[in-house]
Amino acid sequence: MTKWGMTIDLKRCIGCQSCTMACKTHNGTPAGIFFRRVVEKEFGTYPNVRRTYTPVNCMHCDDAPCVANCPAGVFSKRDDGIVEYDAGKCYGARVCRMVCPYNAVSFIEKIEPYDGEAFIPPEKYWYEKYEAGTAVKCTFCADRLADGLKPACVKTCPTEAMAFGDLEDPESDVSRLIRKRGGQPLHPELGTKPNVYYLS
Amino acid sequence: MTNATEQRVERLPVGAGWIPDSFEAGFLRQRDWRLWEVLSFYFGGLGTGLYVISALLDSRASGDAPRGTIVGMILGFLLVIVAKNGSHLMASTHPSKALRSMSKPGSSWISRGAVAIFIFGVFGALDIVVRLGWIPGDGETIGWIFAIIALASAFVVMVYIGFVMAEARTIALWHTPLLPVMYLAFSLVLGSALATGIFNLAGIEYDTALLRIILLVTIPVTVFLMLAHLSFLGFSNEAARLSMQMLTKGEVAASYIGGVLVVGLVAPLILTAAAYGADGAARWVSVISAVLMVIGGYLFYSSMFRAAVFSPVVQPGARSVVVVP
Repeated sequence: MTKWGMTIDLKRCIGCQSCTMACKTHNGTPAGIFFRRVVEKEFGTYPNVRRTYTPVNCMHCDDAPCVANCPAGVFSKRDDGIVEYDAGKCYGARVCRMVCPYNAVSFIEKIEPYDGEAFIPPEKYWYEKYEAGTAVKCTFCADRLADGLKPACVKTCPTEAMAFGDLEDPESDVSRLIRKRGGQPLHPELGTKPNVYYLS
Repeated sequence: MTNATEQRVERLPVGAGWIPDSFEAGFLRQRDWRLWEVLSFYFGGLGTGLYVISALLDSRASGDAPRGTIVGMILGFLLVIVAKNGSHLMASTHPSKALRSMSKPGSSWISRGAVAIFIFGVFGALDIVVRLGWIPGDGETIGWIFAIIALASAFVVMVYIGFVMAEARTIALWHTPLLPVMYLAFSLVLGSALATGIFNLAGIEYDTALLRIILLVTIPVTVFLMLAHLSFLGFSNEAARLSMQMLTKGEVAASYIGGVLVVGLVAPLILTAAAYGADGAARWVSVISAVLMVIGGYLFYSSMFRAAVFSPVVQPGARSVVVVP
């Protein structure tokens, strides 16, 4: 059985936000909604300053708090490990936003045009699939996976900082990288068993 | 906490967002649950507390005629069914789908709470009907069954929000087993306070000594729980310490320490203790202390939301450094 997972090489990430843009473009998310972010963090004081970049998206946890705690059953865990959502079931409790340790669930308060005045044709097309007042999140680009493609962020990254594949297959890129580089999930101590591993 | 971190925390802007956008690592306030959620949880605690305390007093009252204390049960019932549920609907973005909140009682505490509210709505109403003597026959056995189910569901409504909040693993202020107990304690204090106020204002006879004893026990227990919770925060992670600072020295301190602890608990405790042996002025003292407790209770519910801070999402091994712009 396939279990999708991702590795993110923090040494390769240059914080260019290409993955953020690729995600936005593929998913057509409304203004202010990001399934993918590259979080920046600055250490030290001048002149000893260091800046790190941490790409963050849904970790598709095995014990996903959003799946367990959503009272309306919006989130569910697929057999292939993807945590998917059905926004049609969402009534706006927003408990998913509270319980996700990775701030991976977004809530669409309202759908507005980017320029603040009128929707341009692509926006009209993109935003049709979203409904204001519902929770949304990364699905590892499940539609692309169904077509045999990799997630948009993985495909776009110019430094190939990400790998995507089957965690159950010991010969897959992700499994080999996790073994070789000692991949760790973000905050494993929280016990959600994430399926996104960071290489540092 | 390091000196550098302390300096950063001290410099936190009051009332301003700490993260300019979602692409910078730093502490994040919870902003999803606001006024309507506070009101729904508050009315739930207030209503169930009033119902339970009034039911206890009503069970101890004698005589076949309807007792005045049943007014408290009816009001508590309405607070839950009308005010709490109404606030929930106002908080929902799609209220027409709100019945879906009962979909996952196996794993979701909100679902369990929603189911408990539904059961309370059915059996609380039946309990009141039986106590009013509106059903033919004796009704004593069936009345007890209704009462036990109604009280059990009221108990779940009192505590479930504490369990919901405790599931938030990165909000250290909430992620503690103390929270359900605190909400239970506040619910009982609020119920006792409102019962005292209503019965004294309306001139309804009730077991004054019993209600005073309940207050003299529940208020110190609640104060102890508050202090224990603050102590727990002091020994936890940076987000917890930040929440503690907000509650004790920061922007929520006036509400939490001044409003909840001093005005809402300690002052009523002193007033209640002082009024213990003085029946003449005791009525108005009880009303005043009840008003203070009801206000303090609201401030508790709102403070717990206002001081909720998410730990930053950062890289492995980088947790000891805090960057707050």
